[in-house]
Amino acid sequence: MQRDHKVYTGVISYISNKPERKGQERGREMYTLVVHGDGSRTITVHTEIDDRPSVHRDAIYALDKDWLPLDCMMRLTVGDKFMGTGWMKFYDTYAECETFTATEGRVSQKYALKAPLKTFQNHAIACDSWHFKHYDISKGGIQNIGQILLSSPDHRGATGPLFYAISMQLGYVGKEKVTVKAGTFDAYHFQFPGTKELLTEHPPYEIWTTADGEFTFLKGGVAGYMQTYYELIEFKDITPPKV
Amino acid sequence: MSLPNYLQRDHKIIRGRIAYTSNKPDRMGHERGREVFTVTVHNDGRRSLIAHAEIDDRPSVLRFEQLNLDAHWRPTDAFIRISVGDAFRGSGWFRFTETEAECETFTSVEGRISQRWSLNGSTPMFGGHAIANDGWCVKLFDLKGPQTQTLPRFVVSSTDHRGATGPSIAMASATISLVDRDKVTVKAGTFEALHFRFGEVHGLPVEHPVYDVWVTADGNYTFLKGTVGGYMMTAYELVELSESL
Repeated sequence: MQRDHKVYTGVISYISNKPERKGQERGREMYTLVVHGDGSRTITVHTEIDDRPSVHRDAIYALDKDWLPLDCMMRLTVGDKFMGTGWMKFYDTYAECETFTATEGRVSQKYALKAPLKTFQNHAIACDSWHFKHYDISKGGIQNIGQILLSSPDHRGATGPLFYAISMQLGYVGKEKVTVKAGTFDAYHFQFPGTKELLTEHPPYEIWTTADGEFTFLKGGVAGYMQTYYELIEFKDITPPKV
Repeated sequence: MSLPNYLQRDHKIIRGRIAYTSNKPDRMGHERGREVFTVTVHNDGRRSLIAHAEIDDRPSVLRFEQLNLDAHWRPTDAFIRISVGDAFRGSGWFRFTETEAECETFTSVEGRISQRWSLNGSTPMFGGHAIANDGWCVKLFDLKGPQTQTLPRFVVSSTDHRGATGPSIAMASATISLVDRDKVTVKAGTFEALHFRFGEVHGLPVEHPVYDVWVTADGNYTFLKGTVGGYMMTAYELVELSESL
């Protein structure tokens, strides 16, 4: 018998912060995270955004032991209709995307990289917090972690999947103890200060992650026109016992 | 209570957990793996499966599968990622049309491969080796036809019995029998069930032992339980089932 990996499951609730919908559930996300014996990790995540037109996203995303992206599969449904399915593979000098979308048809993309990608944005909330693994807390301030690729420039990730490149800015507020429905955790409070590199400007996005080195998403909120809130409501270590 | 118009929840969810146990005399009943799956059934009948499976028998196999069917249960696309012995083995994306199956894959053995296989009509199913996916394969059996039928050939991600190679395109079929229609009780509950037996699987390099599968009779073909004989001596049981995340 071989049980060298660890397994965690989590559920994130999507809530509205708009005054007329304050506290109303507007989506949910369920994930299973496997951390292999060598530190590499793979997440399987199913997301539902109910705001019309609804967005369903299945993603399977793998990172190496240094948290650098290896590959990602994504499938999107928008308005309960097929939008796209694609597979992205990341190498040191390029990234490739094989995709089929309702809008673009069958597309093969190859994207040259000046350096290995530090992170990839697949739009699952559980993976938003992983970008901060590449933030140097000892230095503080706003840090640019360089060029990254997104699966979609849409704020809800509701197009493609196709590559879209931006540079990513990250900020740090401080260390706090945070209580969410899944429990009480020592947490880092981070910020995405907002970016104008998308087709429309993304509002600032506050994120709290665990401070245990796993950067597990705890809660977050997006300001501006979005006024959304996300909270980890279940988190379980379901690693089978060693044998 | 009806939803406000700005919210859209047209789909249904089927979420489950399957326990893998051994039937070998020296390991009888011991857990040897597990699988969690989520099925999304869209309003027009299309359905998606996302599954995570773990086989503990050394070398361990971890599988991540995502499979999509159209409203007629024909596969449109799929994805498989596997680790064997807790090390990366392969990651591949499949797409199916009326005339072709394609696979874009990267494996630790073969490297980067693009496969294009001509098809005479779309593949009637895809076998990605998740046990929940096995339940879907028996949908190919015509319940109004003879008791024993040889299924049409369909695309599988691996011809290994544990699905521990590739992923890449291979073709297989099976001769299966409808054994019984009965009520079945598993840890997840009691269900009206169809009991099938895979007597022979065609297209594999090594003969697969007889495989008994029970699925729900409600049209969703949700895997309820199964046993494999021969050298494998394995058992599978649905231990949790829900209709929400």
